[in-house]
Amino acid sequence: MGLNVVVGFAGLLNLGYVAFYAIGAYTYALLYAKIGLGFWVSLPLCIGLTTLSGFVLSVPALRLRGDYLAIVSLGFGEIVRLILNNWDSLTNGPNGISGIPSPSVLGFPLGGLNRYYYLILFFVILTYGVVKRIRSSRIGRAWMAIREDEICASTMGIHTTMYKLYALSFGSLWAGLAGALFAAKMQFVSPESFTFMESVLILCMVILGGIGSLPGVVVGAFILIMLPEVLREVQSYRMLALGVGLILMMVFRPQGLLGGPGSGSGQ
Amino acid sequence: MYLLEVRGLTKHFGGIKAIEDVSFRIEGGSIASIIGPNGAGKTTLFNCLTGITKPTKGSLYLSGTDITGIPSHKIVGLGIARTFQNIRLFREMTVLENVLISQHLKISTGLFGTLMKDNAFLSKEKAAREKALEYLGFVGLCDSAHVPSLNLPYGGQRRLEIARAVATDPVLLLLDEPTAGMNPQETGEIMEIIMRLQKLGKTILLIEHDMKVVMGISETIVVLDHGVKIAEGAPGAIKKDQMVIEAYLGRQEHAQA
Repeated sequence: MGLNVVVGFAGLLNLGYVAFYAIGAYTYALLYAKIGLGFWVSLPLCIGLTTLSGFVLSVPALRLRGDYLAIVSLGFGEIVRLILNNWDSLTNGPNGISGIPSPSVLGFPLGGLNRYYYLILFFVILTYGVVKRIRSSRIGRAWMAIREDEICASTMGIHTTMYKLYALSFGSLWAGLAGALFAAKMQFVSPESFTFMESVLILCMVILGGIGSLPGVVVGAFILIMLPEVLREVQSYRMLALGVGLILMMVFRPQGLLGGPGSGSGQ
Repeated sequence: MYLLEVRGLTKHFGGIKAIEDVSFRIEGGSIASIIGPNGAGKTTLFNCLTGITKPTKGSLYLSGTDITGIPSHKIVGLGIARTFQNIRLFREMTVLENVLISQHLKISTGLFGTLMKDNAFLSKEKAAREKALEYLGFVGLCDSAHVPSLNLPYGGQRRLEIARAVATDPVLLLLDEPTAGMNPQETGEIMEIIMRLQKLGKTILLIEHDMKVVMGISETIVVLDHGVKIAEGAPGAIKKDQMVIEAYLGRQEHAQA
């Protein structure tokens, strides 16, 4: 969902999205492991730190455009993963951090998967609402204008660099949120969860559902998470089916399942 | 005081001298044209005026204020808007959204208001929409407000570009070949729009190749050739100017001249 802002709205290809996801997850894990902060206290901190890291990366990266930005973000993703993997004293290296507690709401522990589901659902709806509102405001329009034509956007009075910065930071914010939720759900984080493939998978969700389309991302995420389960029978062909599916979609419906003009089918 | 004053403007791209020491002045409320053969530096001049490229030398004044080298997103706020020679619309967005974008600077809603959808936000958005529809009405595009802009016919796209530029509420409007590729009837419509804009008090600077338009509506004409100003004056004088005829009219537009 956050990536949708970056790629779909502002047209900035970010291949290191998982890095922000990882930062969010590790922040929560470490805040608990080192100083014993609870979920609700660390959540804003996770989000803050991730947004800040998105901002910091953007400052140098925004001098680049298109493909170059993609490569820098890809590099950033790998750097974060390697740091997590090798900074033993802080992150416990490849072994990861375990025993992260689940959050509780008003005294009820949300340990079971069922209860946890509602917490995630709450955040998904919150995210959906916030992103939808921003999209139909001047900020969202400015992002889309930058995607369509940067020079032209600047002659309409849009400070293009500032708005790209907003987009990247705003996108990272949600990755931080998702990361913290992920850590709380798995009760365990390790660098293995945050590989480049994970970035690609998230990007696939956005593309599959329709770049720039909000319901599209939800559908895309749903399909890509469900598909491997449905195809469990023919396990070895799962990735093949996914690949073929994506290629077929590029040919027959390049704007994504629910994308369309106006919602913006991207570049 | 002149509305626009260009003093000794020079722009080099490496060894290429796109504009060399060009100076001219435009009075507020007038329609002026820049003409010249291809590659004369007309569009580069526009790019300098709108802050897309920085001039190598020289200075630009808008109502006496030095605007040289100010970045393009700030120039708009000072009152210069433009259209592009090769149409640059936000293609995937609707006609209405295109015009809404150009009101970017005039809608100021905080992040909090946006998220809460408070009354201030809603009323500002509504006002912007009404304003946008008004501008669309001005160029006759009200009926296609919700069409994606890439689906507009060519003439409509040109008119939308004008509406979008006007929606930034400029004092000076730069139009880069607004009638390129149009038939006589469409050209007539554009001329009529330009004259209505003048009545609203806008100053208009045109780049144009169609001599009927140039001679028909402009009060002053500046002629560029290879980056140098070779003539400036009223249409009647320009038509008779020997340098201009040699550089430009003589070759291509002799019958009309």
